[in-house]
Amino acid sequence: MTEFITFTVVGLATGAIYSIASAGLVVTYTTSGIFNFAHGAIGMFSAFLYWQLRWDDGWGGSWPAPIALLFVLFVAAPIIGIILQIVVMRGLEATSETTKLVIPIAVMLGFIGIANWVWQGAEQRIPKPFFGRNAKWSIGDAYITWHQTIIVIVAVLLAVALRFLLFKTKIGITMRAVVDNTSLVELNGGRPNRAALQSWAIGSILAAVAGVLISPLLGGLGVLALTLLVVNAYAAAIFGKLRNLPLTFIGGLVIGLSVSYWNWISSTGQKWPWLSELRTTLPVVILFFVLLLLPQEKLRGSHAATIRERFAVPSIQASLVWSSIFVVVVSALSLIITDKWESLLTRGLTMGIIALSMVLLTGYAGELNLAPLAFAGIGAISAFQFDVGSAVETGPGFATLIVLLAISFGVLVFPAFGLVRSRLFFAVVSFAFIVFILVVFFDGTTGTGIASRESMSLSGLVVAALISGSIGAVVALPALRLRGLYLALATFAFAIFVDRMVYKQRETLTFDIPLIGDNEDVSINIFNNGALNIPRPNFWRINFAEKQWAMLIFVSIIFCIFSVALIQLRKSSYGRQLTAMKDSPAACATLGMNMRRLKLSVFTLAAAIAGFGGALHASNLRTIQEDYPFTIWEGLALFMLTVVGGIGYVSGALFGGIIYACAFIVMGDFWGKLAEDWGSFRWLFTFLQDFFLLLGPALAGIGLGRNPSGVGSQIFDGFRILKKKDHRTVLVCGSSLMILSWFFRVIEVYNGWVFILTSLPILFLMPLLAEARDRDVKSRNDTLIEMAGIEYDFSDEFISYIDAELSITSDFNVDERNTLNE
Amino acid sequence: MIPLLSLQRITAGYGEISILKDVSMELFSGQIYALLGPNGGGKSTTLKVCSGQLLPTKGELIIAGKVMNGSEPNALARAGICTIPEGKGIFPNLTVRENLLMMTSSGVSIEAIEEVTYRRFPQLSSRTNQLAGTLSGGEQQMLAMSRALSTNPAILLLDELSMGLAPLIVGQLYEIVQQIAEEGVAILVVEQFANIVLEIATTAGIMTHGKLIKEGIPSEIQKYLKHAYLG
Amino acid sequence: MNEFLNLENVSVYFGGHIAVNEVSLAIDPGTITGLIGPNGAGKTTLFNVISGLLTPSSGRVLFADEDITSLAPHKRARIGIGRTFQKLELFNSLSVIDNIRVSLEISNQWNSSRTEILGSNISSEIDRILDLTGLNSVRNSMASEIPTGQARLVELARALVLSPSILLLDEPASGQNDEETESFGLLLRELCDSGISIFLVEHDMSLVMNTCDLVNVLDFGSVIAKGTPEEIQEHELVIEAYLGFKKR
Repeated sequence: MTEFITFTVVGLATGAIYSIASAGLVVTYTTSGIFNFAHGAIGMFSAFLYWQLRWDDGWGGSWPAPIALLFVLFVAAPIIGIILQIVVMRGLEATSETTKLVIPIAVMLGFIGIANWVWQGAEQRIPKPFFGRNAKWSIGDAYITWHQTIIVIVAVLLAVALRFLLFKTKIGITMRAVVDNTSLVELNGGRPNRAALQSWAIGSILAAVAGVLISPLLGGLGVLALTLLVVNAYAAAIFGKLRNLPLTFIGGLVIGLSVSYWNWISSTGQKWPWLSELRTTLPVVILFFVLLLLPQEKLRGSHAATIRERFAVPSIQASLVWSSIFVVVVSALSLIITDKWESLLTRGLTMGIIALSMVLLTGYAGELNLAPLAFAGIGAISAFQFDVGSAVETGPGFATLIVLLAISFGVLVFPAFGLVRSRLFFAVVSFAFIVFILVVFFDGTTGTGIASRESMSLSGLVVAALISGSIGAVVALPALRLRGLYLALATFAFAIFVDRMVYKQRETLTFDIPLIGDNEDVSINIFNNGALNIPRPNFWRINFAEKQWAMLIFVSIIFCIFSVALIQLRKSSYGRQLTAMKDSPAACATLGMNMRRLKLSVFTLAAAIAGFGGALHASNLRTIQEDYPFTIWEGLALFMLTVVGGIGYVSGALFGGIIYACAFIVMGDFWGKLAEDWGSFRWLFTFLQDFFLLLGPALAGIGLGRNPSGVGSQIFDGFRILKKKDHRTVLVCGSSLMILSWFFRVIEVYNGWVFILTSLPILFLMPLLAEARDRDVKSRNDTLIEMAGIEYDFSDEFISYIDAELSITSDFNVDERNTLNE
Repeated sequence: MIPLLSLQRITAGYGEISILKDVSMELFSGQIYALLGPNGGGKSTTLKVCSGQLLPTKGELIIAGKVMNGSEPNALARAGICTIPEGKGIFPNLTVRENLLMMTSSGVSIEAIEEVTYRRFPQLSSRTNQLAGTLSGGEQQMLAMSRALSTNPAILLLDELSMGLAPLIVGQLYEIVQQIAEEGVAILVVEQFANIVLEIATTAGIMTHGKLIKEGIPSEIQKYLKHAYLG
Repeated sequence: MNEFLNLENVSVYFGGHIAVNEVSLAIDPGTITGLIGPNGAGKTTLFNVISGLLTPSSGRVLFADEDITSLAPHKRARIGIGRTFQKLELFNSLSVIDNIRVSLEISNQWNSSRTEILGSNISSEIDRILDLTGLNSVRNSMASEIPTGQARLVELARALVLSPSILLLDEPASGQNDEETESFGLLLRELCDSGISIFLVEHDMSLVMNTCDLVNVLDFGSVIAKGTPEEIQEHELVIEAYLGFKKR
């Protein structure tokens, strides 16, 4: 009984916090239609701020609790909410689903960046509960702390207060009216924008309350742990379908209690060790299943047609040409850059391959997936376990498993390409056979993993792709009916699940494949001790392990192969069907398309690409850890940067990968170097270094995430002008100059800086020069020489056109209404 | 006398599609202008331009002699333009009283609004705490109309008042419209059902394919109607 | 029975609002049947019920004497019900020709008997459809960039490649000019003669009156009149529905 009370109280307390946090999420979502991914991060930030004011040795540190609370909850938090609404979220209503998702994610990463920046160092920051650790009272033998008591009381009070606000005040009623019918609020003379501001302020306060209340329950403050903790509240919000506040409160309590009772019956994870991390994962598992049970929007004539997201598809010829150029440029660069740059670039390219999976899934098929790196991680682990790892006995069991995987992969993916019956059978069998041959002949099927093999083999990569693809299918299968935000959240839940249950898994799992081998055909220690060593490939006697340049060129070739294949896929019947599904699900249904099958196949395929890329990425890094490089945060950052680069294009994946892996590090290094060289400006350069390292990606996301076609394609468009025949001289001269500069660098006439300073300006001047020439030619054709210097008369029509374009109108205010009435 | 509301050569539409093409019209104090025509002819779009919900691509929206292109609808509303949109002039998930409270943004006190509303529509007074969405269609439209009655607008824009309502109630509502006009309010009525509006209108226009093809006194307009609607 | 699409007492409620009220309709094979009615009368709702995007609150939908009331939309397409949308549902990222091609490819997946026939003849089939609908001049334009009138034709063309036995057209002429509408009427007649029954929702009365064999009038979710175009034009209830109520 005592235990029951204790665990119930603990559950109620955490549940109450989830309720508070999720209520804030619901308030902002209903009034603005934006799911605030940054909600958890706001809570985290507030908790840190509160700690700073109360307990830091430096600034703040000794504020009394009430004043610190007032400041954090009613000054800082509302200001954060209002600034977010005005600067970032306003105007997102009419944008695409992807943009609505990316911008808040960018904000979340921004908060994480700021918190990491301000609260640097390994210092232990331990917030105390209200009235100290020993303030408790008891029911029977069960002790209840005052902190827990306060949490529950606050939750009840907030529930009452929210109820009062929403139903008894003009502010709240306006907020509800906005949900009902925004344009009618305007016609009533109300200001929906103001209501949105207020709701963001309130949402932000609620996040802050949750953050401040939950932080003492954790021990030390941690940026990511706190953010994730409030993310658990997302599940509660989904309970209430993101609308219903009472249900949301109940959802929060249900989650809090489930976690607590789970801890009770599993003795905090000791009974079933391999499930021990479930205590932190349970909320997202609940999130996943609640999402599945939610009634979904029916297919109806969409109104999404207002958003024009169109991606041109390059011809196969162009993609081949660009690929060759790319590989040549990378090879040329590898001659003149240092190992460090080479390895950064290689990372960028392997990340780019993972990002290609998003181009296929999100860019082509319009399905959101926030777990690209979870699949990549699974791929890397699979490659380790099944190819080079020590855990798996490579023998008949292994070969059988692979053949089974290959068959299931084929059955899932091939029908979508229009293969049916006998042809499908033939294709699947031959695919499985090829995989089998690959495994048997290239790697043999005897001996055990890492002891016998010191390099990543092709079959390792294939296995990575197959397993990751199969898991993609398993995840997608229940999620097939989900779309848009709900799908994004389901994949997000999956990513957190992988983060916790797979990367943090320390137990050995044993499986038996029936009829084959002994009873322990596969025994896996998924993530041995928090790190896996994954070797580089080795073929044609090239030592990839030591030659970074070889790895770079190899990876760039792989990236190009995948890119060309994707472009080819997009131009195939399959690609057209994906595009059709993205553009109009309703029309697809009325054309007889079975969309579930298509979705399943594209999920499988994308997960397979991510798995392949992940294995390659890991192999390039040589080791992976539980917290690097495949975590949920990195995944969100990669997703965001790929959207910035242009998720509908292969170039977007390249851009996303490179920017993700190198750009901010390079920029940070640049300022870091300056800080070293210029002692007197050290503070400035260090500031800039941290700024780019920690906030760069987030700012890129916030600033550029709205551009639907992406930065990558715009850069490409800029250079497109050089394709014209007229500008061949410009192209040839420019390229020759750059090659010359490159040559000087190769023979070490000058250093890298000079090379950059000479070649980059030439590169960017070429299109500008071409444009200038075009304009010159055009204006010469346009104006007759006699007309030079003679001005036009502005017609009335033209003036009114200009007025309309510039929205020049007279002002009109309330005072004048009276005159009007008379 | 200058018109309270005037459209000067308005072209407007959604995206690249122009719904209205070069439409001009004027509306004076105390006048009831009935804008008629088949579906998709551009009537509702005209109303959206007047209420500020749609920015015209060409032409001018002039209110009481001032060019108002680009004003926010809420600014126009506070300035005395009352728009009752088609079929959804109320907040269904708010109670009757909360709906009335939303009207106070115009600057009129809630007491005054309640007084006028309940005096005019006694049956609403017993339902103050009922969700507006659960009212009957007629009562919903009365609730919407109470904004026109209680907030003293200078211009009233009505979109398809009769939609989904029984004839008797439509008749009642239009009697009220007539009374509002007698107080000097300029009223623009968009209706698909022509006959009933023509009885109270002082001017009428027929709009098809985004153009005002006929404008005149109601009795004159009536002759063209059947042709315009049924071909 | 030779009536092959039958609605039996179909009703649809949205919350408390009755969008379609006890509608019974029958479409005869080989005819063009019109459905007219004022705004908000429930026409598009009825179309959504027939094509499966909406499940009726009560009533049954029968197709060739089989109850299809709860059949998934894509399966209805497979038994021969094609449709277009009032709010355009084109594949905007694809060109006009690819819009048609992809429909053909989708239909090839379920209509496997046709795969053999079409196989290499896909492009000639596309050409035939493009010629039929007169879209040859814009075949390579992006679907999002052509005028509405032609976009409606693309939707029609897309539905035609399924070789449907019945075609539901939701305001196909809106956005077309008079000339286009006239030739569109001729096209409909041609399609009908080739064996496709057509169910047409349209506001353009000239099109309805000139091409339909039979016209149903929907008002407040109920069918208030049925008859030939001539009958409908003089039908008292219809005139009242359109022009308003006689004041008492």
